[in-house]
Amino acid sequence: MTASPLSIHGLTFSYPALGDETAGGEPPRPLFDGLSFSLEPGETGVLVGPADAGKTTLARILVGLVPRFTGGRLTGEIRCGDTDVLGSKPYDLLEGIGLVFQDSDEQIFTTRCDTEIAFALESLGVPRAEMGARIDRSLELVGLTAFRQRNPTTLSGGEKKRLLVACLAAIDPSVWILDESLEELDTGWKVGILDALKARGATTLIMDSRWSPTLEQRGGRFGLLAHGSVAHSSAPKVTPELRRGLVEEGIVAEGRAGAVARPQPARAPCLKAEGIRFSFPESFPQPDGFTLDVDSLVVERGTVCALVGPNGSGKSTLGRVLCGLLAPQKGGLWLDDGAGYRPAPREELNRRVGYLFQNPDHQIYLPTVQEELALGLKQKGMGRSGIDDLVREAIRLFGLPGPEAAPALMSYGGRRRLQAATYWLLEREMLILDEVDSGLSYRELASIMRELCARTPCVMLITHDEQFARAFCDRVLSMEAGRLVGDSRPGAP
Amino acid sequence: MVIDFFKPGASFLHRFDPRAKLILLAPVMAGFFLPAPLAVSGAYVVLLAAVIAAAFGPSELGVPLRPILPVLILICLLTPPFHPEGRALLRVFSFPLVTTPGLRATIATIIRFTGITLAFFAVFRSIELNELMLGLRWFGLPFSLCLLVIIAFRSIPSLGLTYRSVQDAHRLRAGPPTRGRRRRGRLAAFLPILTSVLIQAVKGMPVLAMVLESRGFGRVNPRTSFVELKKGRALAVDLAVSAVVSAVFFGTALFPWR
Repeated sequence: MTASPLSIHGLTFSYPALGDETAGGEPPRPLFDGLSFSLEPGETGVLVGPADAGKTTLARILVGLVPRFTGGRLTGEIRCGDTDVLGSKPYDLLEGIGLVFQDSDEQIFTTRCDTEIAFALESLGVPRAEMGARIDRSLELVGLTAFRQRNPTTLSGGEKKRLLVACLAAIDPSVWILDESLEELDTGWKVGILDALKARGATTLIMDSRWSPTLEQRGGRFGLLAHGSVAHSSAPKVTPELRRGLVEEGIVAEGRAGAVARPQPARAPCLKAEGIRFSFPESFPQPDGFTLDVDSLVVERGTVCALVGPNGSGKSTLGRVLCGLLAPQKGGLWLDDGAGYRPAPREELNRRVGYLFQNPDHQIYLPTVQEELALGLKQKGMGRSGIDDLVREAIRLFGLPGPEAAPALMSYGGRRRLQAATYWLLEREMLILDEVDSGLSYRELASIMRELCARTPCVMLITHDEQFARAFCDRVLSMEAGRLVGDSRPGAP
Repeated sequence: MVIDFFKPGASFLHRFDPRAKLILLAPVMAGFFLPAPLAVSGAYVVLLAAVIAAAFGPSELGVPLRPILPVLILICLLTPPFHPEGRALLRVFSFPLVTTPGLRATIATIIRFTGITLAFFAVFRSIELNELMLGLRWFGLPFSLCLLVIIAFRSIPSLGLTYRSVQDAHRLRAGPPTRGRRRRGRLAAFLPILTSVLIQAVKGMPVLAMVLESRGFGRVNPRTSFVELKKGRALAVDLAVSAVVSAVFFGTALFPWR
């Protein structure tokens, strides 16, 4: 009988910090408690769970990185084929089990796409001639052949994720672990990569925070990671019990959750962009000649607008132009305060249009939640009692741990909520949320969106999740190759 | 987390073997400390500038010179007062602010500093990191040490990119400084941005270590290389050119011109 390519039995793990923080003599609460799960050869497993359920930790345990780099107590058994994972070093597992990490910026460390892929092959001692062929095939798989010698820093978020998939494809391990690695990919590439893995017969475990039809159609075994264990279905169907669990944890989209009262009358213009042309300078080489080319765009008050499109289509670039971070070479931006349009200089756009970056850590830097939230209010000249009241309200609405909590030690989801809360307090006229959905469950995302929409006249969400965009947003703008190619209103009669 | 210091190209400097460039770097740096006449040292700086302009384009000269400009200004301001001896060229009351030896010392320091900066720039602007790694390994450095050097090299511009990104984020959160508080604002904004960048850098270290091990760093089998350096005659020619240029550089610097 063939050994299961991946089997986990009775896995229990707790981080050292969790044990230390436990007061009152209670035993430390493990992150996983008797977790068991297995995959058959060639099977695609989908393991979903809310933020902080331990998906990333589990992924790293499976490739031998945790507790090796983090410390912690780990018991149980993990086998990759005949290999005992817990008794092996990560570098020795390279051909058996491979991981694509969640954050692409943290794992790219060379100056060219081909050398990025080559690093692991060099470690394996693959001859140069074979290496070239493997690199070519991997780049072709993810559609980055033309970017072979390009500096990975100049790739879009989704293209970076595809490059990292190519890195793993070149090694072609028996088991692939994708830790939210498909999140920033457009549906076409998500489907393409999953189908390619299936065609290769790769055993794949996908970790995600949200449930999507793409995953449901292509998954062979489904599991919900929550409260330290995995509730899983028998392949290949999602059982009603599992579906209930997904709904309870907020992993599935729940209809038009965005129908909230908004302070501004609908459809009044807020910001207009006309004749915008922008291309990056030479220091950001764009071999495909990318140019942002937007003839006309009016963003209205009282609307939640989604900006969707394939990777590298220019969504983030347009967002950065709208908030004044990038200056277009041609065209202009106009703001409307209710008395007609007037030109908007970049400095004014900076003050009036907020932009939530993909990485929350770029906007969070103070030692406590209280200081972080109070900063913008102090700059506005607000009195102390007013600041304290608003900060308390923000902590309550965004489910933050408390005023004295240290942001640097908060979970990813917590830092995302804190980032959103700072902008909630700043009361910008328009907010652009650049893929803030990454790593969040639908429930967390909807909760953040609801609070921001209730206080901000105009919200633009840049996302790859068209399902959420159509369920939550009043208007969906589609981009392709730097141009706006679609403008629909899902809720309109 | 990626260096953008290297500029791709096919110039003579790019084609010159990285090992030969590294070998050449040592005598060029040492040569600027030899007691050559200012005109000779100055000519070397002009020559280096010409090499950079020819290899990368004249506009590239601003890349290394802009960051060192404040240091050059400080040298101009602080060096002359430490040389009060000799003929005074400029006096403030009775104090000789600029003297002939002071002026010479200032020019010599500027030439040295600019020359070494340009030499480093010419070499590292034209060596891709993987070539640098192979070059260092050719000199006998172990792979782990080479990787450490590469990561250190890569981190500086990478932190620069993070700094710009964090600066943008802060600008949008706090708003651009008004004219009245612009000067104070710049200084006050620096510390929180630096804090964010340092937090990012520190948080990224363990992840980078994980990534390296998950890509096979630590394996005991012999490592192969995707990038190939010159071999045989081509390498010998480049090393010979390097030796000749070093000899000319040293020879002219040590020549008894007077």
